[in-house]
Amino acid sequence: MSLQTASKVWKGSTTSNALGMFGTGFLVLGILGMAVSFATDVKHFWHAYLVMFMFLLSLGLGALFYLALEYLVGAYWSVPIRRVTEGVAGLLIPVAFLSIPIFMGGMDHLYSHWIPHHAHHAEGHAHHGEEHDKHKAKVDKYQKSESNTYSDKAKGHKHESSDAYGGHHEPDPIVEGKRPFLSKPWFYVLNIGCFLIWIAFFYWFRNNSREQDKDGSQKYTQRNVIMSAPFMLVFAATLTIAAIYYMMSLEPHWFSTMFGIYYFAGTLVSAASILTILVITLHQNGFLHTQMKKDTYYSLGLMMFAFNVFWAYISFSQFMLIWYANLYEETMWFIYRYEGGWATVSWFLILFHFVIPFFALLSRDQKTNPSRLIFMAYWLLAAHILDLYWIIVPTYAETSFQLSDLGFLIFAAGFVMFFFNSGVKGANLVPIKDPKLEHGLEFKIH
Amino acid sequence: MSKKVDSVVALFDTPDQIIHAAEKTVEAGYKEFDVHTPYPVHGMDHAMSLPGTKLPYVTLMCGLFGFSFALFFQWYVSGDPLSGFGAKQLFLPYWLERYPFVIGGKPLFSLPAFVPVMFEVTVLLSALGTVAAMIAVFCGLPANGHPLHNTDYMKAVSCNRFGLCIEAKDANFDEAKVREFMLEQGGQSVVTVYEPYRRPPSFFSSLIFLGLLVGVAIGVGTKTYIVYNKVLYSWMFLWLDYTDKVKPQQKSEFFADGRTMQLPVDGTVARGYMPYEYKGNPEGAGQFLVNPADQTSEVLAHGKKLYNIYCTACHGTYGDGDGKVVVREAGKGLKPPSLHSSKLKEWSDGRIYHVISEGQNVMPGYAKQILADERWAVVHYVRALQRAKDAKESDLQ
Repeated sequence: MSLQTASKVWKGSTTSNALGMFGTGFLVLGILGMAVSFATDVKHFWHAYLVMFMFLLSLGLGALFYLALEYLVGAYWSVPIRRVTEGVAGLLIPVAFLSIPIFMGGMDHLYSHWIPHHAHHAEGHAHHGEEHDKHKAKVDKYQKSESNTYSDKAKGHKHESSDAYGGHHEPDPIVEGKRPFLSKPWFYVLNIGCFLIWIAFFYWFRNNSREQDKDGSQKYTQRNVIMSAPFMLVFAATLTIAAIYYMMSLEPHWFSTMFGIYYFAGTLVSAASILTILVITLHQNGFLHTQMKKDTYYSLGLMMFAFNVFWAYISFSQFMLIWYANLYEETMWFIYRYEGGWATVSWFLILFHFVIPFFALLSRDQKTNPSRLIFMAYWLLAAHILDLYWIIVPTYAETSFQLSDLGFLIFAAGFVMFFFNSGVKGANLVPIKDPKLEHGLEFKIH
Repeated sequence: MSKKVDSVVALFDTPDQIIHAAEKTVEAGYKEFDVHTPYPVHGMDHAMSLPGTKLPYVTLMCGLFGFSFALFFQWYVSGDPLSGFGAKQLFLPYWLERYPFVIGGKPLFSLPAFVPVMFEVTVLLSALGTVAAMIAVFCGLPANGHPLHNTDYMKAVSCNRFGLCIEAKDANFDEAKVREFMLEQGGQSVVTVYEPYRRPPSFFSSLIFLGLLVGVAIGVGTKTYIVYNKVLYSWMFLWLDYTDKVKPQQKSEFFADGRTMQLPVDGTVARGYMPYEYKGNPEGAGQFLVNPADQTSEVLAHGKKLYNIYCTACHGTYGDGDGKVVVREAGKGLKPPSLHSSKLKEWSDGRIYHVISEGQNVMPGYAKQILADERWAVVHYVRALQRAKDAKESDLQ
């Protein structure tokens, strides 16, 4: 079988070198932009950083999910593109390092609503007090009756410094209830644990896949199949934990049981999009397998379409349940996004993330046309970034966008280019001895 | 009478051959042809250069219709037609009535609540529309016959052979040329299929069928007659049909005047009913009637309950003559006297009882609504009200 000679070798190719070079350049440019952002507005910097971090995390997690899904359901069509999926899933390792700045410095800015910060009293008393006033005002707006009773109590010990708000405010009973969970030690332990679990699974799947290139033994597939089932359970739990810690706890008062799956849905859309972009671009430049047909593109398009509808379903369900029950602890999150400048963004998000892509990806012609498919993939990536922006930024600000935010986008692009390139260098771009490869290449839509 | 040619058919052995033959048929310029295979052969659409199916557009249209219909329907049904459009003059037939129910404190038009229904109807109508269009329009069903049916060709292609069929309605059709073309492609058993004579299908026209119909009609008619006139009137339990009761309009053998229903004897009193002796005689009632009810707390409570039901509307909760009716209809001369006037305080229980039973001026009698014993309880309560209004020092202890 001359499968290996059927495609260009990635390592050392001009495309690979160019990707590495441009990636490095983008990374440097991006870091410059981020530095400007950091210098101008620290709080904005950290929120924008979190958007970028969650975006890159969702690419890696989604790809890891697709990787496990292929083994779990015994899919054929995705075998020829599996190395690309592995490459994207490999982003998880550098993304893990991106979380270090959040642990080190970002937490106090992002999660100041639930982090007791005695340490900061000396330098930032007035500053934090201001923020808490703002946050508290938001909460009070929707729970006047309760806060009245508490504020009466608070007058008595205004100057004590042992409560949830670093000594400036009365404790929020809901936040107090989450106190065991929302604490720095647990944040560190659980999030680092999540990353370790994801990376361990990633290495397991990838190494077995690479080992198979040597002798084509079925046992490697079997090993991955066995691990893919427990992975799904662990994945559901870890992704939910990450989504709750990084994003839901920005608003510690609020809770939604659908938040984990909401992030999961966006994750799958964006991972399918980045895979579409990479697979089509690589294939049209002579990489991957020459026998691979447009039917595989179609499948990727189908994934984008299906999971985009899934995203709409989940996000609408989350909204509708909260809207219907109309409890102020829950509605407050949506009310920030329902009124004022964010309402425009919300409507735009519905249109941009669901309505337009739905009709644009509905027909088969659209899903087999590579250039339109790539266009829609970029579109959906942008929509996912907007979705994350819409989740994260309203917790601290009215609609705000700064020019230096482009630095984060450039950094993310460079990050994907650079680390994808270095991640797939180590092996063939096609799993040449996978027993399912030939069947996968024959995949055809009916 | 010569037979009309429907098509020329040929059989092939392998899928590759049939795909090749289909490609060649397209090259030769035939448009009206079909391929029959025992199972779906991959690449056949392409080989036959069939245009893409239009079915998805039907699905899309049905889906969009379902979406907009569900939206319109819910908007209409939950809307309030009486708001702002000269409400009461608007007459809608009952089947156009709307149901403006407020549910969960939401606005009548609440899009988030409508979306699930819109989604369901969209999916339902797209699915049903697609299947219906596929069967009725794209497959042309139901069809009760085809010239290819009951041919050896059809038997072969539904078993293990691959068939090519070029139809006579094609513009380039020429029987000899088509047969030659098929042989060139390696077709076997090349056969011309003729249309059947256009005689009506035998079963439906035969006298047997007509006779059968008549037979069924007679059978069903007879059965219906027997069931409704005999079976349902057959007596299984005679004792219910024949009892000794007297039926309406029946002549009595017993009474002299022949009436079965005799008038009651003069002075007959209905059960549980005592005629009122002092009708139109308030003074007599005040003088001779004595309150038979005990002044227990149960009686007072019952009297209070009835007073609150029947009396408060005019006399007011505390008997001040300021009930809701009086307040609302102020200026119309409705002014029930206060129950606390000295005249009423001096009245005996029987006198008050008389007014409750018979009414007075505008006030109607309440004998129909309140039983005699209960009226006495109300009297007790009225007395209690009077006493409470000007409570003495001793009452408070």
